[in-house]
Amino acid sequence: MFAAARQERIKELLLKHKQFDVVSLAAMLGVTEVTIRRDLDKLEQEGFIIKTHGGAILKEVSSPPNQAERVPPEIIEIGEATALLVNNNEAIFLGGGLTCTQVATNLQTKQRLTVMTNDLKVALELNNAPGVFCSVTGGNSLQGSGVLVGELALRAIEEVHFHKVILTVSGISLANGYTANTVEEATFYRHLLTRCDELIIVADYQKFDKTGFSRIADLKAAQKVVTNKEVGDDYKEYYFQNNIKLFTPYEVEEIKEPDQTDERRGGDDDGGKKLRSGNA
Amino acid sequence: MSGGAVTMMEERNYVLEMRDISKSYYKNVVLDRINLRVKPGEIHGLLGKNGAGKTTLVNILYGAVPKDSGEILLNGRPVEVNTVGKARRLGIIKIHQELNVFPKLTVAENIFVNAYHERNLVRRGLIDWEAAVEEALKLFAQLHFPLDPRRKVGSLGVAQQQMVAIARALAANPKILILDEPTAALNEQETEYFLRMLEKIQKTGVTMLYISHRLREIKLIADRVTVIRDGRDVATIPTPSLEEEKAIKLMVGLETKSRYPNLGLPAKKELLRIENLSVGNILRGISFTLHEGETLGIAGLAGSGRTTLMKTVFGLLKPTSGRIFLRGREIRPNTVRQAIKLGFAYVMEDRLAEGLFINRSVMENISSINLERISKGRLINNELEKKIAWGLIRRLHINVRALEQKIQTLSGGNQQKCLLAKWLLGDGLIYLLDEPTAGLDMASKVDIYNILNSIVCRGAGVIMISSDLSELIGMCHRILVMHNGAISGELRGEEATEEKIIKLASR
Repeated sequence: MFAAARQERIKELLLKHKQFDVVSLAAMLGVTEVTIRRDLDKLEQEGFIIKTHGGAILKEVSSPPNQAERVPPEIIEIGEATALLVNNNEAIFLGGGLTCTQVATNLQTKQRLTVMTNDLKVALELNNAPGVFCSVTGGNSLQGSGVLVGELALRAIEEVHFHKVILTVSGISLANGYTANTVEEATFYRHLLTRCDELIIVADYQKFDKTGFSRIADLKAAQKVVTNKEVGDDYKEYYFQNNIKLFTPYEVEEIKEPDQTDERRGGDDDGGKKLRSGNA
Repeated sequence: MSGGAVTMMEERNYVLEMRDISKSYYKNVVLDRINLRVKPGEIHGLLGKNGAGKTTLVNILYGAVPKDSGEILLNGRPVEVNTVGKARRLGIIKIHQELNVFPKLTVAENIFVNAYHERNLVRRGLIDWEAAVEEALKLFAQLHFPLDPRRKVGSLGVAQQQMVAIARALAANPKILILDEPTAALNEQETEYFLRMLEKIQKTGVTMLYISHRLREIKLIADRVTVIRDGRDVATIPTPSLEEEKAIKLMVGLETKSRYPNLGLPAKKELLRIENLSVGNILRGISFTLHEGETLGIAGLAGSGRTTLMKTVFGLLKPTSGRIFLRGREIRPNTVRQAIKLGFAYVMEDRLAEGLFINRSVMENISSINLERISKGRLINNELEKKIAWGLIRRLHINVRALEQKIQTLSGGNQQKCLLAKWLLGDGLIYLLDEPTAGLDMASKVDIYNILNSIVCRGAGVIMISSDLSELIGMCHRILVMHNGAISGELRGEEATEEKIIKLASR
């Protein structure tokens, strides 16, 4: 889990420094070298780097592909973590925005999942997922974003109910609650809250202590919040005190299956070189 | 009679009053305007879960911990109890949780160790031992204690040693005697004997504050009981009308399960299987399994064998019988090194005393078990060590200014993260965590829970001991309850309640 976020960090480092050795990368990212080698394999397949003995160099041609569309690692990890909270056979609503699109990316392997969304990009992301039934609200497109709002969007949710509503917001603040940048979005999301069992707010840590133009709801309206570990202690405390689950993913390495090179022996003190670390 | 006079009368009815006492450690509120009223000559029980604030409250009364605010009154008069010595002079004496006697000294020496002068046992600069023995005999006659003052304390049973500790407290003529979990180290018979002795002491007119989370004991010995929860007094009840169900409800309070960020992912294949594990009489026939991706909770009172179990699985203690299987293959971890190699990680209960090298730097603490990784031959690669330490600090978002910073200067939450960090570099398969969030502020607790999430997400298994029952219920797939060295019950996370756990832990 969370390998994608780490690979994104490796890309950033390589774009900046052009080349890197495995040992340093492993150390800097706090993971084992085996994990880094696996990440580099992946990046080589993507054509982003050329692997060298003990390291990697940036492929000259792979200048940052559309800098604008690159997704920051903190949003990638929120997408991965949030998908863990969604079960097969559920009906959910997924709101608009980059973070929700990342959630969609990680929902593609779910089975018999119904997703309604008001973001065309989310719908596109789920277009080829065989186990996901996706429907779009309709409505007026907010300029440049592909997010649908307004009377037609509201009509689409009149007769439905969701197990979970997953929303990104523009601002989260102890004083002003969850806020959106437009009145249209806030209005639509407020209506959504009356149509679900559970509200999950997904937002990277930079959205905290900010306030958008239009208020959606009080902080207590959510049952779960997924953000980054960098979020302020005052929010961690607030959510805990108010019986709201706060998830902040931490990077982890996968554990290797035991059957391959498992040389671990119980009564043997001299186990030789490092015996275990991750592989895919 | 005016209202004021009535209040005066009532105040005189209490030998001790603690009013609106508050105490916080950093952001962690331990006592929140708590009140306690004790009548003269009674045994007053203090009942509450671990961490409810009982010990802090009596430590304030005993002068060992300063209060942030509030008032203490003795016989209706406000007093300032700012040192232990002051408390002693006021007649407030505490008997500690752990046995606190000198085993190599005699009973008489133990009893008068800090009262030679008060008892006029010093003649021309020397202690008059014969007089001391006589004094001790007088004291025992009064209390009906069957003890020989000349015997070495080390040769006595645990309950008798506890009596010596009490006799020492009584030698100082206390007005209020505080007993903090005095039976934690005693077995059933010893406990019974001990409680009978307390009844005798009560007849001499001493007022006692009796702390316990063993309901049965409180019902047997106390006249009235004050229930404490989350740093507040929730009720004071005469013990005859104290029903078990009601008392547990008062201790537990409202459901707080939903605050715990449990991902709720299903556990997978069997990872660890323990069969019939015993260590002398301390652990008796323990069997359980742990699965990949599972968080297994262990509940139980102090002395139930929880920590012994962890230490045995980690190879710190040798089992007298039983077998351990890792992924279906039998293992015999004889040393900690082997256990670590097998993928065990152990975060100990007392991070200051056992878990961390308290005088060393953040970096040295983080790399302490990863030395192989950062060394070439016998030399440590400093550059690499630094990079790895920063990598882990970033990964866990530990608030550290410099790697050279002494670990003792960090907050509890950041210390605990350093402790976890050193186990996170690649190899951990089974994480044994003993009270991982004890004493932490709420934000740090939330961080630790999310780190646990990431550990189980990667397919590792976690065994977590905790006295915070709501935390166990909130975070664990299953909970094993221990009592007297054996497993007294197993509860699935969804069906577990604090009431059920408390019953299994104290029956």
